[in-house]
Amino acid sequence: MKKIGWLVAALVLGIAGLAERPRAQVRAEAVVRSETVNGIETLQIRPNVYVLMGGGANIVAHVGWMGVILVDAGSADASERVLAALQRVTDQKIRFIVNTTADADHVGGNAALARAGRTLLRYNAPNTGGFAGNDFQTNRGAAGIMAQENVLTRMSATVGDKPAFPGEGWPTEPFTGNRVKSLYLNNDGVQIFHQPNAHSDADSIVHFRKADVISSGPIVDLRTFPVIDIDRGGSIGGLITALNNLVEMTIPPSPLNWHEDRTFVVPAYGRVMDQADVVEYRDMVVVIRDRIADGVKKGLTLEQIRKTEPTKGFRGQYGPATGRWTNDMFVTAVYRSLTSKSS
Amino acid sequence: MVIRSVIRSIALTVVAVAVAASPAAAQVDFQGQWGAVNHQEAMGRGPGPDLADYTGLPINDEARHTALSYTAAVLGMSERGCMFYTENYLLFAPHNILIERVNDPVTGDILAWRISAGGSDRAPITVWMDGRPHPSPNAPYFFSGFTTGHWEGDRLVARMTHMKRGIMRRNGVPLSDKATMTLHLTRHADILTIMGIIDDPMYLEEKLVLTGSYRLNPRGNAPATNPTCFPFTELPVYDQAGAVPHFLPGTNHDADTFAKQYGLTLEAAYGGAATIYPEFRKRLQTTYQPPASCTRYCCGGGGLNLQASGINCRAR
Repeated sequence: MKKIGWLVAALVLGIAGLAERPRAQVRAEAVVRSETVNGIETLQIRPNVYVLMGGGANIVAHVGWMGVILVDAGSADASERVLAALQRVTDQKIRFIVNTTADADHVGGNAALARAGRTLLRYNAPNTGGFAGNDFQTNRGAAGIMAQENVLTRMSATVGDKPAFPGEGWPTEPFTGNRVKSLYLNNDGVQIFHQPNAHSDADSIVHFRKADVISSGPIVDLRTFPVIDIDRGGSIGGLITALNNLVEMTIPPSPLNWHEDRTFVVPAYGRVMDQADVVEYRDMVVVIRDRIADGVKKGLTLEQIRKTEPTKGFRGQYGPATGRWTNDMFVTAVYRSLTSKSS
Repeated sequence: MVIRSVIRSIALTVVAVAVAASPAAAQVDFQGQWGAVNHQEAMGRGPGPDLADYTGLPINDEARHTALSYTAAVLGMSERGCMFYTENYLLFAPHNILIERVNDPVTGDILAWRISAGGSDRAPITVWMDGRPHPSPNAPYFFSGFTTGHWEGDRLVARMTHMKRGIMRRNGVPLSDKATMTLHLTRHADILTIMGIIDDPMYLEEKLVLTGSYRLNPRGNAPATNPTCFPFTELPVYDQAGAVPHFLPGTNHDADTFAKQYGLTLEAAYGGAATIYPEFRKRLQTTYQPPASCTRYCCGGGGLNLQASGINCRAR
């Protein structure tokens, strides 16, 4: 009879054991998936939108039926690693690149990434028959590149006896004026907004309307205070206007503020943001601008304004003492911008 | 005898299964409605702290400078009208909370604890218990942060990362988005203590530790989510993009109001790591001159009416 008891016990424990099996399968996925290979981090922020970080300025990759649309191309020396990271996400070709400014860490990868892609136009190489269009239209079969006209001006300007960037990386679809440039790519409305005289005179904000992802371009850099390139047309007033525009373009999760629905903003460097983050960044820049403007109004010199520590409260996070863009360089740029004749 | 033996075996087995099936790691049930016990720091939790009262905060000079430039007029900006407080508000807010257990639908294991904001202006906190990793530092930050938990005996220890920029005190002491927070949830019968340890490399000289207490309230009705919020500009002067209210350095007219009110030195009122230890209090005792009479909050803040209870709270 004891055997019957053990049999019953074994049966009950066996059923309990079976019931425990699914446990290993219930791990939920993180909100945003990421992987880092060869120093390039790929973050998936929407089902068809990825951010590639670590190869120069952040790159946005929008994947759809046409192929891959890139916003910015990173640095030239990172192109192979960027391509390898893209190939882990999709086997689609790069079809179009939009540049948000003319800096080397945004456009340096244009040539290699465009060459690895394929033009939107039908293209047959010369002497192979069929319609080829001209080389400028088709970029010799490579993916097309769109940017505000000043990007082309900067990239094609001669430095010494040769252009700043090789011709095959220049924008093939430059646009002019201050009207919004609108395209429909990958079943998504893509709008490009030129921001005159912000970081420079060649900046754009790129908005994927359906995906609700915005690339801020160089007007937001979460590593430092925003870089204002006065000598290339940048200004503190234009930068704040651009940040205001960015705030107006982003949608917060209101009215259900506890919900995670919202517009994502991809800055030039640093983590993916939302409207609240952009507001904090914009407000910081406005506060510092006001402090420096107050010093200018009181007739203080740049050196005297520096001594008032106008970035205090923010410099620990955004104002390094050394490096590419320091606390002093930012204060100097704001001062120069506020005191220039054109301001 | 046979039947008795079988019954005994089944009973023993059921007990064994019951013991084995209960998660070994989860010792305490936090589920329920918890009413905030607000007699600790009642002023700060209720009507709000005095302006430029940074006592008890181990803040650095950068934080102090930012706090002195703060004006509550920023809440009139349409961009900020619906913006939540960051999750450390749990430690100095007056609201009740609802704690829910999120179960694995198959096994019944604890997937997460959800700590609601009681319908307040803080996002619910989800404490993931299923071992998932924290997202990349480059992933978006939400006002809920990202939190994982584990048991240390009967105490739930939860670590939050991905905190947004916010405040450490409602009078504008800043919290950076580099901050992290560790929560300790400890239940003693019907009392729940939540201790938070905040680490902010940008604005703190050392970690800030705060606690809050809650009493189990079977009649509580704190909701699981927050009310809706539709942003609009409350002050016409700020109804233009980029109008950001703040005090320029040296212009905050309330910079010393609190210190004067209580006869404190600015050094004491402005906080800092050195000011939160007994040694500083001893040093103050040699110079401290209490005000001749109480002129403000003499009967308590936050709606307390000590005078009605017969205490002559004006006498000193």
